[in-house]
Amino acid sequence: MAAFANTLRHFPHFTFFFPARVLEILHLRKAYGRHQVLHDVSLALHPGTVHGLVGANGAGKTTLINCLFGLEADYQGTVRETTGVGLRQLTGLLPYEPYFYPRLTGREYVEYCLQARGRPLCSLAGWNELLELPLDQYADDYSAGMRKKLALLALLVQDFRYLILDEPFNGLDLSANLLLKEILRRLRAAGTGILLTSHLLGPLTELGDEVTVLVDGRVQRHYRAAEFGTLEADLLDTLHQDKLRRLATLLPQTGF
Amino acid sequence: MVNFMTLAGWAPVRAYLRLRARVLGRQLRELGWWRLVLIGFMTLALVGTALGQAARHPRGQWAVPVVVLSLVWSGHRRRSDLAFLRAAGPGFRWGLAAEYALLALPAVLVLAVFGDVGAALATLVLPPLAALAGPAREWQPRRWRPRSLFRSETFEWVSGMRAVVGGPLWLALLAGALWQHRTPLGAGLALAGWLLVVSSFYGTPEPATMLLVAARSPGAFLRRRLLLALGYLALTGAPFAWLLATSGAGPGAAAGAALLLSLITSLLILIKYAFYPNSFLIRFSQSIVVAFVLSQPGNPVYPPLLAALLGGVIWQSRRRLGQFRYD
Repeated sequence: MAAFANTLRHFPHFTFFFPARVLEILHLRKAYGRHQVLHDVSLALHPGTVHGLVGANGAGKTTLINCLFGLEADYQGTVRETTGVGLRQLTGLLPYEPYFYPRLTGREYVEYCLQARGRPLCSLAGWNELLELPLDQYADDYSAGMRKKLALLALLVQDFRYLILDEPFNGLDLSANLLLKEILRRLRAAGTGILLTSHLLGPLTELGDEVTVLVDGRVQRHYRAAEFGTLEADLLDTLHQDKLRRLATLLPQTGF
Repeated sequence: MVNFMTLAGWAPVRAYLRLRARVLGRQLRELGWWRLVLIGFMTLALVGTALGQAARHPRGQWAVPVVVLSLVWSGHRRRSDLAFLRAAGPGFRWGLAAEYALLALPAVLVLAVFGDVGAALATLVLPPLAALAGPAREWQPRRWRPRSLFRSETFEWVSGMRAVVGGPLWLALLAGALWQHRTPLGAGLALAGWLLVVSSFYGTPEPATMLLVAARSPGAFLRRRLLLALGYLALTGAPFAWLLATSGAGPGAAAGAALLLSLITSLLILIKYAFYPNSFLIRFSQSIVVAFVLSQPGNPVYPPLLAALLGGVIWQSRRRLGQFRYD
């Protein structure tokens, strides 16, 4: 069904009969005082797809995510799900640095995340066989990678239509990285729309159906999967033109 | 918010209150029984006296809802879990409102016992409104700032002054003290106000990595933090002390006030490292100490209590910092 809906979005005439469910950001602008962080940003997240968001530090990725999730209120533009349902009801957020209360166990944290949305408690055993977290220890004693996995667990046990994941691979070891990629692939196949930021291009091009490049708060370009081959060279050219010239003088290409 | 409450009922609110009670209970248990008794005694004495006096006063009773609201409001805006709560569930403000109502309940009961029904109702209704406020927006700095010894050494003062808009606040206090310079009360109150501002600088524990760099020896590290703090306190507090000395109070009173201010600031710093990195215990202990010292300076129990506290926090802060050594 997700694959069908995904195919359908390339044929706009059919949307009259099958109104598309899309998470839309239209002409988003956000400023902190006089400092404009986002300039007219537009992008769409379809269910059953992975949309990568790339940009240097300070490009506006986290601000965009905060606006999308309603953590920032005073922005201009439109952020909505086309069915009209409230975004926070449909969407789970993994922040860059998840917050954990002191002296609360991992299990209690996940249980609270379920209860806060009025959902019934469920067994965590299945997911925790994969993530291998010491759920009965205090979460503030966890390592950075375990904290990330715990925040992920709280999302995975809930059924979200969209997931917004800010640097989910950060702090994870190799095996957890591979596992997370497989989890995201399966979530996409099950129809979940995933907005993903990462400083590493690898996971984005491996998993993504589309990548948006954000430079100084502006969308520089949207790349479809077929165009990912030029992404790295384009990014180097955009972000480091001067440095590449300097590098050429330090390490001239010798032809080998 | 209304839709969410209709759908999910009060279960998320109950879950939130259970969570807060659980966290608070565990943190208090970690405080240790003798510290709990000491702080509990100081809290009861302080809050009980203040509430009793206000409740007996026909106009003073109306200060209670205002003070409770302002305390809850400022505490709410500085909470570090607001973004998490907002993301965790759509109806988070109901939980916060219920928590603030429960916090205000002891004051409501005291006012009700004294027959101040109107003030009691206001104290019950106003504090939950703080849940509607957003988080405090940090003042947006210029994107680039020059490095300086001041900025790198006294990070508490730099971030604290920014958070509370300390510069204009200091000028306002100085203007107030100058305006009332003929009476010692003006400069005294301004000095007490400046102490409250400075105390907020030392409520946030820095990241552990900053201790790893500095804490080669806990004693040397503590001495450096104390000397820097007292130096900057002397610079910023000198105009108030001078005004106090030239008013009717005289140089002796000014020297006494300066000594008391230095002692309290030292206590605040030592408490911060004694309970590092638990920000709840740090702020709770600091606020009790400051409130107690400012409200009951003439109390006979005050000198031995302060001496016991000072010895305890010197020992505890050195012990706590010792765990962060890397050499």
